[in-house]
Amino acid sequence: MKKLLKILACISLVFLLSVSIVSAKDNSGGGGMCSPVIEEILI
Amino acid sequence: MEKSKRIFLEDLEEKDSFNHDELKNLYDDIVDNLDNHDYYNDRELLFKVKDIFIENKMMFETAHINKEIGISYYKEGNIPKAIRYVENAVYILQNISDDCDIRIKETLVNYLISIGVGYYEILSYESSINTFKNCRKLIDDKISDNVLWRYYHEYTISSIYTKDYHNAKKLAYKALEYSHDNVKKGFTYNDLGRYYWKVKRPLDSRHAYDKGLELFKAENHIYGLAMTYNNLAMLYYSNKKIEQATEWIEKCFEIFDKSNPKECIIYFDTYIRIILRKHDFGEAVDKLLEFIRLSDNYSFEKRFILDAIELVVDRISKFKDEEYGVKLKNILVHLIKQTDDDDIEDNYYTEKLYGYLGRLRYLFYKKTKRRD
Repeated sequence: MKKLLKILACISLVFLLSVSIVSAKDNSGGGGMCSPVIEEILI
Repeated sequence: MEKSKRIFLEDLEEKDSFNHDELKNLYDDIVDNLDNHDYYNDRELLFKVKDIFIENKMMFETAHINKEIGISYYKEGNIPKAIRYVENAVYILQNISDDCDIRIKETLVNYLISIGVGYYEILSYESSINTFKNCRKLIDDKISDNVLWRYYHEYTISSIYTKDYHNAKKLAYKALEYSHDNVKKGFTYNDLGRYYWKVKRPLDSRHAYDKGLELFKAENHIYGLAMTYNNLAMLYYSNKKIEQATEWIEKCFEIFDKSNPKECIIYFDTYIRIILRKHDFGEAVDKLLEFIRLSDNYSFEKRFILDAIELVVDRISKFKDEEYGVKLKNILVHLIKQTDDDDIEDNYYTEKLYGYLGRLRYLFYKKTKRRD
């Protein structure tokens, strides 16, 4: 039983590590919050 | 504080009442003199002017200045506060405006797009997508093509983050309709590249990125080229082709070496991610140190160093590597000492650093105690 629990723990750790490797935050190419797209003409 | 800002503040404090035109001219001067780095003092001025606008019931101007305050927070890297102030601006405009005025509508759309972008940048993807959805009712063909392109482009990005890939593809093609120059087309092809990457069509992804490269090369658009190289690095990284990923990310950094080295900070986390895949903590920590030296403490870029730091802290914590854990701890202590802003609550960057330091101290303090 103890051995089985250890094996399960290892598998979970490997899974967690692989998830953190794969779920990458990529560079979205978004323009950011301050956009020069339009001239503001409110004032 | 710079002399010109002191003079503005003195002018404001001296007078009991203002003529609206006089105030508008003063405000124009203030906005023109805003610094890219003097955030705290700029905001002191902006807050003072905001109070005066409110007293004088100048609500359009109050909306605009809320947005300016938000952008000041954004440039400092405090995105949650930035969102709050741009949301204030939207709330004010919605309550005082006539929906038929196209200038106000376009301004509202632009502010809402900025909010949507802010939310996805802090990983609040649901809030981001809801902002873009709420903006839909304002979108019509009277809105300028530039704003429509920005809307569809950023909405595509938000949809990719929320894994609504079917919608993302439709939005990307909509953005292409409004891309009237090579640069906008280049960004939109990058969006398509990322879409294909996420739906596991690497060849189509590569093809879209290649189109993006062609368009950016035609304009010699350094930022666009670097972003595409970075995205290619991520494509190969996720397909476990580390050598090719390394080649692409190095190409990305090569462009910046010649012009402005600090601009490459936004790609640090990709570089670190690739190094960590090789399980070389030493190289990761050394590269991180190199990146930290390149980044400026009080500039917009510094929040990107947090992404790179978080990756290394995460990995070292998982593997509980004491040698590099302690080295990283010392780097963080040094970074925190460098920030001389005592107001921690207002400093998103310092808060994050303390958070990482706390994690490492907890892990490696326990190890040291046990040895004793």
